[in-house]
Amino acid sequence: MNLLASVAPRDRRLTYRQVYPYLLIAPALCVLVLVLLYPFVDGVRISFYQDTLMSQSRPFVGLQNYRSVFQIPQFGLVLRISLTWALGSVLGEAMLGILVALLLNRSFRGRAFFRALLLCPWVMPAVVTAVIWRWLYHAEFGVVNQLLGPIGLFSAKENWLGDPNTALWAVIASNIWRGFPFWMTMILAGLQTIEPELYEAARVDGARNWQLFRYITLPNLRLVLTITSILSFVGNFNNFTLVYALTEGGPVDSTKILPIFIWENAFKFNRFGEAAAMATFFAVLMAIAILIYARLLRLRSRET
Amino acid sequence: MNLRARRRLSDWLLNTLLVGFTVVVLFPFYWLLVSSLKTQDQLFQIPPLWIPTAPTFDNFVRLFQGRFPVWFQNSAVVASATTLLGLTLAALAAYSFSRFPFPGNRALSTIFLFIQLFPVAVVVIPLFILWTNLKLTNTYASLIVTYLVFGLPVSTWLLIGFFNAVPAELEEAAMIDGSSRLGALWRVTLPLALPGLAATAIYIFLLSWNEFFFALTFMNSTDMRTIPVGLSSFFAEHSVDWGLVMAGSVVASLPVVLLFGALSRYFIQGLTSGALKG
Repeated sequence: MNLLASVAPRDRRLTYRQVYPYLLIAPALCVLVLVLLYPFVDGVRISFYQDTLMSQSRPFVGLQNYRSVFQIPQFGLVLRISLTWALGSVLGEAMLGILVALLLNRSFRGRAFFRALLLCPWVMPAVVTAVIWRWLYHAEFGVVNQLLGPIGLFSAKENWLGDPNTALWAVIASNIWRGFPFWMTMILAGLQTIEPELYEAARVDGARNWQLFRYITLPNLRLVLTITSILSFVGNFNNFTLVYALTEGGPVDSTKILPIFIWENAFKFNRFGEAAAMATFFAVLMAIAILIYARLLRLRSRET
Repeated sequence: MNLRARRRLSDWLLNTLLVGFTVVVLFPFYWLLVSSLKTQDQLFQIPPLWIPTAPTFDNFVRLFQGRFPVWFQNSAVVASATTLLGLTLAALAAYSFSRFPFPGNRALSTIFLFIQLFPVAVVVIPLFILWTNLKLTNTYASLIVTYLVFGLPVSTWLLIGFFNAVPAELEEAAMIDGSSRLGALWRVTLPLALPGLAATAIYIFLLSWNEFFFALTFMNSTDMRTIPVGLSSFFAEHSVDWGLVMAGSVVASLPVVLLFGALSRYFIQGLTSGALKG
């Protein structure tokens, strides 16, 4: 007893010191647990119950929700649309973003100014983007038809967002406008880490422009490229706002991506259990992407 | 043609290309602004009125006679509160990550990084149930607490970078003079990391100002809508009042343009550091 008492105060001070860094993180961690971890676990739990918001009894139904989700005839279509949406957006944003980053990666006056200007579509509220593009795509008074009409390839009154054949591509196009600046910024940051000496040395050895790009730029950008594509893919796959504000998933489901489908099932049709099952399935898809991301990050820290 | 002339020509071509591309990219914003200043007749004119004659603020006057001021206030309250709280949480966590090599430092800070990959559609249903059970739907609190988490990854990593740049010796000197650790952080480190704090604050503000998904889900009553949700509700009307939507979008963009214009350099730094540091 006596011994304990003499040891305790010193021990406690030591413990306080060890605990201190964790105390500083604790508030952030608490919010993290409340808003991400707990809901995530709870969501998985809900997916095994028959649940509507109002129901009094919520019987355990096992995998019933999952079974019925995969029996929804729309579900396969929704997955295909989601994939087209995400891949189409990523590819378009990447091509445009890389080209503009290469244009910006030269020394000239006003470079920072142009970079900031070109980042504008990305920082604006997505709903504002949707408003702008709804107006640009307007069948009768939209600028898109005013410009494309005279070319004669499309109907001069094409209802881009209202026609199931064009809606998905129209939505992807506006998303590329919104998302390419992210690629541009990341690639430019990557390009600027490449030592100019590398280019000079290669040029002395007689390398041509495309060889410089192929043998110096690309290998040095590999990691930035992979990280950016994963972030961009996950971001687009997760997207809800732009598509919802442009088309609400319509017309006739032609732009119904998975997050909108989940949200509708939960909050419009009050099918919480099935929506939670879809969300869990969605989380598994995301987890695969995130695991790849984690491996790449580990790869990187080993390299540097 | 000699090499120098050829180089100058290609530079000129590339610059022209860049300027042309920038004009195309910015045109939709120009069109938004111009459309918001048009009368109903001018909006529906064919061919379109590319440069407005006699611009009018009529749409803006009508906008502020409706529900819009309430939505504006909601957005402002939520975004400001999230910024203040988020900055505090991120600063404390970033300080800990930056200064103490405690066990789990790297693992925890990496977890923070992964939050930005978390699918929001997965947590929205349980969160909605949670807020409903706590009677917190249609409150600012439900949105503020939710936004806090999604601002954390980038803001924490941005601040870690800025804190790392402040020498620990400065704090130690202050602590020898009798200051506590948090006192030293407050008086020595924070003032030196001020640009970083400002950039982080702007980042969190924009994030919560722009957010739509959770606001749409948690705020059902018309008077609790934030600006993005309010704007989208214009499209639920039978016929869309384009002048009004355009004016609303301009007002929604104004704080973004001002804040981003003031600190775009730090914002870009935060954008890339959140993703590339690992």
